[in-house]
Amino acid sequence: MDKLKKLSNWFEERIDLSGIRKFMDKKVVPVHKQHFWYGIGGITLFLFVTQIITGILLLLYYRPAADSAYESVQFIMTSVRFGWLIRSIHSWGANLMIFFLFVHMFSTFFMKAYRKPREMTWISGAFLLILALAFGFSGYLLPWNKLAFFATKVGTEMAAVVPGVGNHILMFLRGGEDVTGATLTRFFGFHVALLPITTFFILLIHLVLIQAQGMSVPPSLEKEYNKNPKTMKFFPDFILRDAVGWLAVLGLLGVLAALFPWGLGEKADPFASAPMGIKPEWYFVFLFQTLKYIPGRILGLNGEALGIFVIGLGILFWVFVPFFDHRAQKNLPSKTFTVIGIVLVLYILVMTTISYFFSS
Amino acid sequence: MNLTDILQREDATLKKIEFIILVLSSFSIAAFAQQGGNKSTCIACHQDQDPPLSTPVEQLKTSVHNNPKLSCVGCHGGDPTAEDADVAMSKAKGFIGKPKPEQIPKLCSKCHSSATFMRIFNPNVPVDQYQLYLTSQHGILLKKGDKKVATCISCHGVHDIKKADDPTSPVFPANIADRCGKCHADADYMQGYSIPTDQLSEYKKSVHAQTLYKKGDLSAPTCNDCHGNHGAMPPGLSSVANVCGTCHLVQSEYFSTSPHKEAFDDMGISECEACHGNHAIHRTSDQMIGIDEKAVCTQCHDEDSQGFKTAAIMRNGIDSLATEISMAEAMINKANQAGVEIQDKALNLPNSKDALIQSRVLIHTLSTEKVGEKIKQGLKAATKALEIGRQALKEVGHRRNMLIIMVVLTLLVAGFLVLYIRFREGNDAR
Repeated sequence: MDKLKKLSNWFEERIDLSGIRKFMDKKVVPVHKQHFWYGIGGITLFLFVTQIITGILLLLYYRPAADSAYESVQFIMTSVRFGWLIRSIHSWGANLMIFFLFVHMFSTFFMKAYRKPREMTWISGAFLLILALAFGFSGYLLPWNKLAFFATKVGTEMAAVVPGVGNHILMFLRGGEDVTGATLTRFFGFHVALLPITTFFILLIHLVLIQAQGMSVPPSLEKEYNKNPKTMKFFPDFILRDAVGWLAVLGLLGVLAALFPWGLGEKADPFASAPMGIKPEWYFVFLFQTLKYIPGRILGLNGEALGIFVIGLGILFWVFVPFFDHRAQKNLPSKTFTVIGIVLVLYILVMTTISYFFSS
Repeated sequence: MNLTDILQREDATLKKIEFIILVLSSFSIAAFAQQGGNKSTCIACHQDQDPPLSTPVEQLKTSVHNNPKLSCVGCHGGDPTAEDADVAMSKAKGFIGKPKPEQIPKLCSKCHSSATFMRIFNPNVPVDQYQLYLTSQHGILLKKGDKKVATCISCHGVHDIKKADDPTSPVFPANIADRCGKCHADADYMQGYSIPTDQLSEYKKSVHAQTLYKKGDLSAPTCNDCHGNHGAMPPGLSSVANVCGTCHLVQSEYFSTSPHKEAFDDMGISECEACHGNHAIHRTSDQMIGIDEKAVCTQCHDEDSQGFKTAAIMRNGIDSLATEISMAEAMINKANQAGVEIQDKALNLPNSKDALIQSRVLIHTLSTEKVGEKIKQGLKAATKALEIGRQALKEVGHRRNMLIIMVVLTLLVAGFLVLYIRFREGNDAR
């Protein structure tokens, strides 16, 4: 302990850490019936950190070219010590991170945590979700296997239906007219440079806002909470509880990676025909299924383009929902938005289930 | 005059010549096309009739002969410009009506044996069909006065003749067997020819038919690939191997160097057919070789013969390689299903499978040394693949053990954390 104290003093003599220590001492987290949900964001952040670590390790061997990407991933899986584990954790971790992101998003939505003064926290979080989906979409192609190749082909094709600029977006995403090695190199660039740096800054804003504004108490519990405010210290009480959650997720990742190692599949062949029943990653499936139900022409307009436009409007509404939910802004119950949230959750579940179990 | 002037003048002269050629060729094509292109009174009249008189007009619409350069008179004679039906279809105008079977080959050959005429439509089209037909069993019998035998129209149709690569043509590869079977599978029709009528049903059981119909592989043999088409004849005893050898080249070569070749020739046994059959050629299997009941070798070789011993040695070798491969394959698949990627799977297993296929083909040499050498190569690769599979399964075990240790460690740390949190809470409460 003496050594630790000495080390702390050494730093203290050089940098004034009293402000941070004071903040850490003062920082508390509300304790109430639903405070369990506060931990989900931490789990998502923990998974993001595992993604960075495993991603850097994969980078040591991965080669982003059409003629060597698949082989390099195969090499990681077969010849690199614990390569299979690192890749499986990276792939499973990505999926778990997006799952927890959705859970975190809906929990904050239903707890109306987006109301004043936390509008910017919500918006930065919504951008982080979009960035995570972009991470997933770009990373999916990197092993250059058959399924990823065709899923990327279908996914990028959707961009082409945007009137006017669609073709330019398609060309930008693909680096040409078709999904080729140029697309792979481009997606690699997005995945390891553009998206991480953007995420870093938005995540920083998100975390600073959370630390500065503290946790929001749901309006339904606010009166009761204000009568008898109960809190716990962020450091170390809340962090220790968070750590239990992180360990549980780490254990889950280990189980998934060892029992269901992420497969590699067949190498992509641009001249082969697309495999039957091709689907995007599970988190895009509800949108994919929605587009399948939209007729080719609606009132003389391109149905798919119209569908994508409406989905785009929906996403915009969701990102800026704090400004639409006026009742929540006034700390009043806003049942309409709770119903919207429930309908959206049910819609995602139903569409995903239909796509996996009842659709060809 | 400098070089540029000379070139410009030559260019102008060339352009003039080009123009004259263009004008002259336009006139000649127009004149030629008019011969057949004029409105035919045959069609004008027949299309207004009830079937069957209008049927040829309907059928001609999808026929390869529906070409402005051709007209009905080419086959039927007569005058297509005459308005009066009696004049148009008069003997004086060369009208022959419905050609008789014995007239048909000659009639078709009028155009199809003329390289000059056929070149107008397709310079690559063969013009020897009539000559070949005359050498065929059909042609020979027709010459002898047999009017039941097949002529051109029996296979190609009459007014609705289509190109052989048109899937609706009766001579499209997938339709040929049924077309031949129309006569050859009809026991009543074939009465008096003293040849079997089960060829079609037998063929449809064959590996060739399965490849053609189920896999849709149009290169798979059908009747005409072995018997010839226009010169159709049953292949003679000595030529069966040559027929099979056109596709099964390696097997044929191996057979011709084997002791069987001389022995079969001496005994008058047809080569490939003796073991594989003819129309109902089944997919080969390892059971065909060896000394058990299903083996074809025991049909001729008794227990004391060298052939019997050779068959047993070859079968044992093949069985041992096939068993080793299936064991390696099962092991690698099991490891794959458990999530272990095997990079080497693309090397040893396919190599051993190739060796198995090659040793099965080498059987035709009857050389135990050659077959043995190939089996040895295959076994080497299969053993390596088996070892890789074993290692992969071992790896699965390691991973499971690692998982247990990791989960236990994680739970322990989480447990300590929970205890520590409670300890802190207890202290705070005090």
